[in-house]
Amino acid sequence: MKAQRAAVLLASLGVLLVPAGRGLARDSNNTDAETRKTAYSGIIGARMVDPSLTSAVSPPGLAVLLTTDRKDRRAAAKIGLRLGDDFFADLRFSVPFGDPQDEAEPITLDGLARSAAVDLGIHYLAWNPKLDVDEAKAIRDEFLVRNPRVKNFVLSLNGLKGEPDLRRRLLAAIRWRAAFFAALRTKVGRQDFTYSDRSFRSFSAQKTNASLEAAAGALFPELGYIGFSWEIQRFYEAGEAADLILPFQGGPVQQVKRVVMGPPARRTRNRLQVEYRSPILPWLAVNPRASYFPKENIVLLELPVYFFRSPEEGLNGGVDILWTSKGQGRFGLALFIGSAFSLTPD
Amino acid sequence: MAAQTVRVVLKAKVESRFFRAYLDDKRIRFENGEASRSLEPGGRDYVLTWFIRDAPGTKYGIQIAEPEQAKMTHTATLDESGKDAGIFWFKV
Repeated sequence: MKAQRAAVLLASLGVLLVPAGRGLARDSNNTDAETRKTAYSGIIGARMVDPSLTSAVSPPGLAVLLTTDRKDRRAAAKIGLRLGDDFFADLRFSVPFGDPQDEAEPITLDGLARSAAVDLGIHYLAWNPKLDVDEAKAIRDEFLVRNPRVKNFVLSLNGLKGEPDLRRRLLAAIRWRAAFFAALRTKVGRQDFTYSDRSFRSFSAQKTNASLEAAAGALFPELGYIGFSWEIQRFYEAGEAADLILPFQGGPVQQVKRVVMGPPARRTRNRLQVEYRSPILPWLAVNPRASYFPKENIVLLELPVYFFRSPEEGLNGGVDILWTSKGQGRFGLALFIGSAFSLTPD
Repeated sequence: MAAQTVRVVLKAKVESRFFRAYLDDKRIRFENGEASRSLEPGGRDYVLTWFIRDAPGTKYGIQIAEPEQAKMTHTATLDESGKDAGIFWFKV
């Protein structure tokens, strides 16, 4: 989520994604990419569906993300594991390599954006679709009457492409039902600070930032996904910087030196977020999000629009338009490229 | 005397979180892509159903590997609907 915003704000973006996993029916002309995917068989997932590596709910997968935004440079990696049929876990690592004391606050107000952080998430998914067996049997019988030479027939939606009326009947016999998600994330990061006291003596300090996020949502068969999350962040913020004119080595020459006056201050921030995910057309999907920061009374609106398409993965990139009410209001625009859009924020 | 049973071995190769398989309405939980059930032989039909929702292009497969008389293999690639579901009747 946040990376689509953090990816590139009106700046250049560099993304390296390494999807990995296994497939069943392999084409005879396997590519190197396919070979790489199978190398992770049994351990990690087939693909990455979170280009930003920041969604609260994540699938099994391995990925590396590299952004080159001038003000929010960072590298991130993630690995996910399936803990059972319904439980998933993922671990993310991110390292900023921009200026940790840059005074410009990220438009997303992420207090941990400048920390080298470890981020652990555990997710749960409940889904229980049903098929009307009697109706399915009638459809099978009808198919076999029309195709008497077929033996050992497996009835499936995909297998009925040549019989559109039967496919529609089978589709109507399926109750897809809503799927429900829950996720819990915790993130811990370290951040370096350099500052001066009143006598201009320089100090260095390393502080620990942390956040806790709880998320839940539901995927409705015809509407799409709607989810909610609450995050609390505790982080340190650098003091204000000032340009001082000082004598250079005690001589007549003066120098301008930028120093941060005073130690970093501890802050807490809460964020409430609601998001929606839905494909609009085969080549277009949206993921609008609204966040509210109650302590500061700030609103953040984000609209990632997916329209980059890869033949294998489907929709896998687009633009993210952002607006925050902070100050007089501020707009941002980010490009993101990753892998496929998913109905859930994974 | 305990009733004689036949061991049925099912396999699934799928990475999607939105995949469910049921045998007679009971959820099949795959361990490393494999599950087994002991079923009573006889004339009755057992019903295997499965459902998947994911990105178009996702590949998956489900298989009854044993016993011989119930063997089946189904593989598919999701089309632009991003959905597939299937059903298979078998005897042991």
